[in-house]
Amino acid sequence: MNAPALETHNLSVSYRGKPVLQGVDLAIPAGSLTGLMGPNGAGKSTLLKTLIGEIRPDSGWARLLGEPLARVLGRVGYVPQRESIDWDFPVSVLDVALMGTARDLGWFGRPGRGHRRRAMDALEQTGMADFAGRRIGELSGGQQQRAFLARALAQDADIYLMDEPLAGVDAATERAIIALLGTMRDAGKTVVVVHHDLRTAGRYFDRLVLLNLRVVAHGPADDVMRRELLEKAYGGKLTLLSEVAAREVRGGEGREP
Amino acid sequence: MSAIATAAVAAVLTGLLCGFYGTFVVVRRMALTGDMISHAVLPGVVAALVWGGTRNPIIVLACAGAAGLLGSFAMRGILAHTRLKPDAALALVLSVFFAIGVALVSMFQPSGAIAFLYGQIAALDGRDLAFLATATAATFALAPFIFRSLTLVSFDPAFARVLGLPVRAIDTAFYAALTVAIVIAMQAVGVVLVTAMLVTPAAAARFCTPTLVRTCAIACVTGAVGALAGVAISDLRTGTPTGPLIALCLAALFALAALFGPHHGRLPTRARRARNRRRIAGEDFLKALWHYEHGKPEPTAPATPSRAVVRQLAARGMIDTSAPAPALTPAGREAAAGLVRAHRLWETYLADVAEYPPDHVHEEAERAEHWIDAARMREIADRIGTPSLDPHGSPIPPAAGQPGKEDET
Repeated sequence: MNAPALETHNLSVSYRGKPVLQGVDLAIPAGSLTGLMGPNGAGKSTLLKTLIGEIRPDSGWARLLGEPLARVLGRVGYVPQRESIDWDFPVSVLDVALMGTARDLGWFGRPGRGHRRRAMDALEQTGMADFAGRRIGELSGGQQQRAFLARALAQDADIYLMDEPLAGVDAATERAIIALLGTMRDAGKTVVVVHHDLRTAGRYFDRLVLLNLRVVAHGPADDVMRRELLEKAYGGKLTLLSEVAAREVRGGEGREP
Repeated sequence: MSAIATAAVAAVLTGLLCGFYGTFVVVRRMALTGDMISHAVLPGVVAALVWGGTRNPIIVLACAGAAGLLGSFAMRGILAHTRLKPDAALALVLSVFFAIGVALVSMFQPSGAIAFLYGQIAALDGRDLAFLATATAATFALAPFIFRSLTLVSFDPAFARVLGLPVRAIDTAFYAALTVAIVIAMQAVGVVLVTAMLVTPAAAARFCTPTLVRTCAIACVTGAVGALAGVAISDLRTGTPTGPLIALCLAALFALAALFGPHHGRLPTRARRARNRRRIAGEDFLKALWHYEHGKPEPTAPATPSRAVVRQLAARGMIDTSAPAPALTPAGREAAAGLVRAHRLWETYLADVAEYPPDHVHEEAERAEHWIDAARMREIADRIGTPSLDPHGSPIPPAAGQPGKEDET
């Protein structure tokens, strides 16, 4: 059997003395479309940021495409959360899509016709070609998400980590984006998407991960969308677990536990 | 070279250099960090002047860089180990380092320190100028190659990292280059006004263009022109200090850009709004004439809008003003029918799809009708299934070029 495209073992992360993830074990098969679900503050974004090396875990490890992140740079695509982007930044939609080709350009190269072609193709696929010259700040929420998806497509990575690409998107765009993610999966890509909407999760994704401080459930969507599991994930945190973990973290930093 | 020529060349080069790095300072929202660096390097500068022997720009820069590095370590330490937010941490580091710098100046009174504290562009010598020219030339020679990576790292560092770009190294190089630019600008305008050299040109440029490359180019030119103007004025009126004059000239350029800049400048924005108001008044008049022709709601002649609006409509062939009362031309009639169509389609959409209460839809449509273009109209018509009556029971005029019921009867 192939190595999983995404694997974590006993991954624990804390932020400012508060545990965000505790002992997360995951193995996501290659070529799947996985939804990462959980209530607010469950650690979904933190998990993605840890996977891409933005946040250092307290313990445990993560592998992408069977390797540590440093070995697979460029084969990992990342679509950040809306809030982390400065929408006033003076870049156009085409500029954003072109960033997807940056890997081939090296540090100092300048995009040529081939790179532009790839960026425009990606914009075509996401229905954003007509907006290529627009500044990202002038777009609607759905168009902004599609611009970033175009950047991911232009990058042609093997695994994609997307932080709420359906946030602030209208229903038609949501369908278009989901269809696109399906196409990417069918092309053999592994796609992991942070998602909020429980009503659509079962339909949109092959597999689901229910996260709340730790992995509550993981598996084929139908197996995970079960009442008792959802209640376990959304029915509040395991107070005792997070309290003890918080005392551990704070104590380890020499603070009042 | 004469003193004034030296000052002029130094001003232009400093303006170009600060315009370039200042653009990234502004788009990365790190103006305060720039201010922090300028204050943090002061102890290093003074130490170099006290113990470095001759005022060698390389030694000054090395010591300044060391102090700046110390400042950013202090900054990082404070952020990692306390609960202070970046702005408070910046203010803390800035004031402590500046205090040390000023204390060193009054303890040792090294020659040349005043130039860094208050700026004294005339005090620059040939060696300084050669150094400045090298830094500027290096920056602009590398600019085409580093611009894209620097933009990517500034815009979305997390993505840059997964692409495998050396984000940390690029950031460090940027800070180092910024420190060089700041130490140079300090000699022109002084510690406190360095921010003016860095931030003002780029802030002005943002009013002129939406793209980063052009923002950067305009910021460089603005910086050079402002600095040169400051030197020129200070030369005409001997005794006026150059640093503050440069800052004021840059501020004047900023004011011009904020007023007249095509990209969200105050006056172009107002002019655009006024044009839209005139267009809407004209469209409302066309619609009123159309209703008058159709005897609905009441066949009273509509109030005539301002003369400018009427003249514009006549010039566009929308109305005929040869008779005492203006009348619609065929083109005007078509435009008016389009507006009525937009209005009634939107009312139907709001009532049927968006489920607005029927007594709310008219006002909404009164505003929206001026902003619904042909493509949007087709989209709405598709969505609501091309009805012939609006929620109030009035007929919806057909799309232009299509025969409608009204034409048949």
